[in-house]
Amino acid sequence: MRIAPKLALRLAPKLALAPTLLATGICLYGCLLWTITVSFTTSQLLPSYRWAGLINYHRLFRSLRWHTAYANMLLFGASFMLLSLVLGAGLAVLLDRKLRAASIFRGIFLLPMALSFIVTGLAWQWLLNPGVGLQHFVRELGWSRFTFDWIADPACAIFAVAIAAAWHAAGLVMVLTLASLRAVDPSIWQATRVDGIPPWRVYWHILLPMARPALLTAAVLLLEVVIRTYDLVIAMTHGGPGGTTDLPSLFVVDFSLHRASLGVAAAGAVVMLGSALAALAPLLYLSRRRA
Amino acid sequence: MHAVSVRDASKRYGALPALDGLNLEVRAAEFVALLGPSGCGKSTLLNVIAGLEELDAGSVHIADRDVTRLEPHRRDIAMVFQSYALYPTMTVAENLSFALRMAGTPAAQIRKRVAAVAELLRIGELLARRPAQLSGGQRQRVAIGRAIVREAGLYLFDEPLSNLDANLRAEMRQEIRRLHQRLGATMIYVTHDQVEAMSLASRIAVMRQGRIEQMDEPQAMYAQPTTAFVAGFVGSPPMNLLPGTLRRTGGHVWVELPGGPMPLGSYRFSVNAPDAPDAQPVTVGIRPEDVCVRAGDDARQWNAACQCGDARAACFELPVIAREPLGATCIVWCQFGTERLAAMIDSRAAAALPSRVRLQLRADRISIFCARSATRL
Amino acid sequence: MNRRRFARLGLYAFAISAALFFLAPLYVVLCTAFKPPSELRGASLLALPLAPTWQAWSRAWSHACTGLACDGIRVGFWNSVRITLPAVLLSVSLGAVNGFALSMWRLRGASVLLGLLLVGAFIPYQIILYPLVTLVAAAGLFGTLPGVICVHVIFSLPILTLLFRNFYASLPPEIVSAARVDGGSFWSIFWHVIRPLSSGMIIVAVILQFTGVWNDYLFGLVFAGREHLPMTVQLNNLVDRTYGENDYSVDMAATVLTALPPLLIYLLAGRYFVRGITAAAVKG
Repeated sequence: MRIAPKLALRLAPKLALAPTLLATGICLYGCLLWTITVSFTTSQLLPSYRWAGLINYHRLFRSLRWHTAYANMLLFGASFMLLSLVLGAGLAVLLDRKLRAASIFRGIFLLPMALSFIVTGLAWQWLLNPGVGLQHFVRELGWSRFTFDWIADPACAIFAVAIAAAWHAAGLVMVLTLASLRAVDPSIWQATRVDGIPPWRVYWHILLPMARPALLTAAVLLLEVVIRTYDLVIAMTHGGPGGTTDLPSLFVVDFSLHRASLGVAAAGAVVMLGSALAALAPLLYLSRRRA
Repeated sequence: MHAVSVRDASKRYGALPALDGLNLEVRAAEFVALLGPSGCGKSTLLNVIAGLEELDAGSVHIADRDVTRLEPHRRDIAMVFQSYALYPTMTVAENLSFALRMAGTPAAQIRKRVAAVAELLRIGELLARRPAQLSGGQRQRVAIGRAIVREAGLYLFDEPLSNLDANLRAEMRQEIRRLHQRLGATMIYVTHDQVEAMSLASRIAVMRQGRIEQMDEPQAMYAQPTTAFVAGFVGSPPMNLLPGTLRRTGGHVWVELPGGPMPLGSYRFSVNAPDAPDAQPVTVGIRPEDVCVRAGDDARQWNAACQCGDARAACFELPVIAREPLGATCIVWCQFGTERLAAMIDSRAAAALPSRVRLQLRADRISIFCARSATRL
Repeated sequence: MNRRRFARLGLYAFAISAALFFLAPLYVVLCTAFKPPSELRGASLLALPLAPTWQAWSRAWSHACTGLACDGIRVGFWNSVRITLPAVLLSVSLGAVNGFALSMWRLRGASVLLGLLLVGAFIPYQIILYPLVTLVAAAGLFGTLPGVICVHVIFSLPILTLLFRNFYASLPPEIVSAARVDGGSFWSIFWHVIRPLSSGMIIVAVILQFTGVWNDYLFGLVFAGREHLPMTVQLNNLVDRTYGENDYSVDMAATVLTALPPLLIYLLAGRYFVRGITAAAVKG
């Protein structure tokens, strides 16, 4: 039972929280509101507060670059999330099987999470470089017709970025899924042994469905990565070749800091936010429903 | 229906022996209970029979087949677990049919068997629900159903009722007994609750420290326990176990109890007991309901033990030190020398009980155990 | 038995291929960093160095050109240190105090606050970049070290507060009540009672924060100003040169150097790292 504290005692926690509240309120939410507002104004190089209706949104949706960037984001998002979830879940199942040196494997699979996206992007750029990277290496070994030039191919570059991003994020999915697999009542395993059910079926029919909450949490976090991805693209492809790895986040940063089109940038930011919420909503709904 | 035979089974966990040269024979269609305190090895024995754990030495035979090296699913067994082990993301119907589906059984046959089991266990209207939506008793029935639907030759139960509350347990005991009668299957049932064992089993194996102390029909074990441990473990309220010394003087055998001597003329010594030397320390056991209680000179009988009052019974006049009402009966505790002796009487009579009573112990109702080896004499 | 052995082999094959996949990029980078210039022309990046040398490393550290200056990436290293250490210290302390206040003191609207913090943690930086720049500039901190540190702290407060709040919620509340009866104030209870109990969580938070701030790019690029650019920004500039020959070995050496601090922490304290990720992820 907590005794009702005196006034000074009651104020102290509030005072302690005040700086954070202020900072979060102003810097995060205040700026957010500002951006939303600006998207409806005539701001160009500098913000102005003249109401301009939806003109920025018109310009946004007429911009070819925005359309390309948005479409790229959808492609990237879908392939990245799918790859990360499947790979992460697969690795979790692998580590659940009690291999020798399991902790070494786990260490390797989680290694990318310690790296910056810049480092990740650069390393993958070099690895996938057709001239000196993987393709060249395999050709040197004898398979002279081996091609893996996705990073230079406008149609496939976005998927190369997705692979690099999945390389970074699969470890997270693995950790979450593995925790769920390990928390299973051991008598369920015993029951499947008595019933003669082969392990892979146990994972597919029983354990992975039981890990749904963990996978949903992972999906939400992955979604956040999709929206935020910026460093990785900058380091890996700069948005090329030919704008095929451009993303809305690059668009917004570029337009707000370099292109003197604050209004349009703000409009882009609002659409990004809206898309994030739209994608998040079904995931959150799914996770609440299971609870 | 399979017979089970475990021969010379030994298993250690580090330095601790879980099973110690254990031998067990279960006849086909029998219901055997493995009874004992925690740590006695009963769950280990069950797991070994199931194939979930391996033996260090010895063998397991099911239906005359040596299955010691076989995986659980090749032994034609089904098992019910203490924590039910239901698959949480599947409905009851899916839980019941899962093993059959994985084995490739045709769908029509699956449906038939699931329906039969659901009817047998009365879980028909629960088929579309998930385990989280079921009560403890319902979950237990689904767990049993999942085992039965496989139509195995041997059913293993690992303390299935210990997670249920007392009322539910009584109800489920009836269900399980009914099941055994209906199915006529061989069942091995692990429990620490001797009431469950007594009411369900055709034979009980009392286990202690990795060995079977006694294996017998419930009533036989109740009336003639072969070791002091079994005597104290089986039966509620527990048997009185009193220290004493066996004496032989002249042609008479008698025992010195804390509260006085007691002739053993009508005691049937077991055939195997060696001729007891004089002054041998023993443990004498008598059940509370077998102690005849009289009040003062009143020849009124206070309990059924007092069928015949005669010289063959030893009488002791003792002070009453405590009373324990149990509903229909009442336990009366008396000071018996340095020990306490419990006697069971009718509750209605308990109200009029004086502070000193006369107790009669009959030699044909007691059990005598060698104090050193704890075996019955 | 054969089927089981097959399955086992298959598992190990999968594990090893996965390990190769995860190590490949790092292998390339590490490998090339040790190559002398003669081995770089024409050869594939995946070949092992025949005559390994530290040449590229020392060049990357002290002489490489990052933008206008050619003092090597060590400039970026020290900048990163100067940004990361204070940011970690401040944000973890504030996060702990906030978490303590939210979990153990009955406050009206605490759950609303937590909800707002949770949502706030999800906001992508790019969306509010411009107004943030304006704010920071208005505070006179744009392009300064304190400025970029403050930005890092502000953005990490939501998640650190949540982490510490969940951690403290698992402690028995009676210890605070007992301390209050003994006459403790909010701060003294925090310092004397709570702080010693938090070491596990503090380690996790420090590792998480250190990695996050050290590996950051955008905030460093925008807010740190030219004299304080962190290592990640300098690395990108270094590699991004539009003039001069592509000296892969120097680029790669610089990359490894940039990745090294968090990587070392990961290798030494990996357990806490994993714990940190799990804790951060389960917050919802």
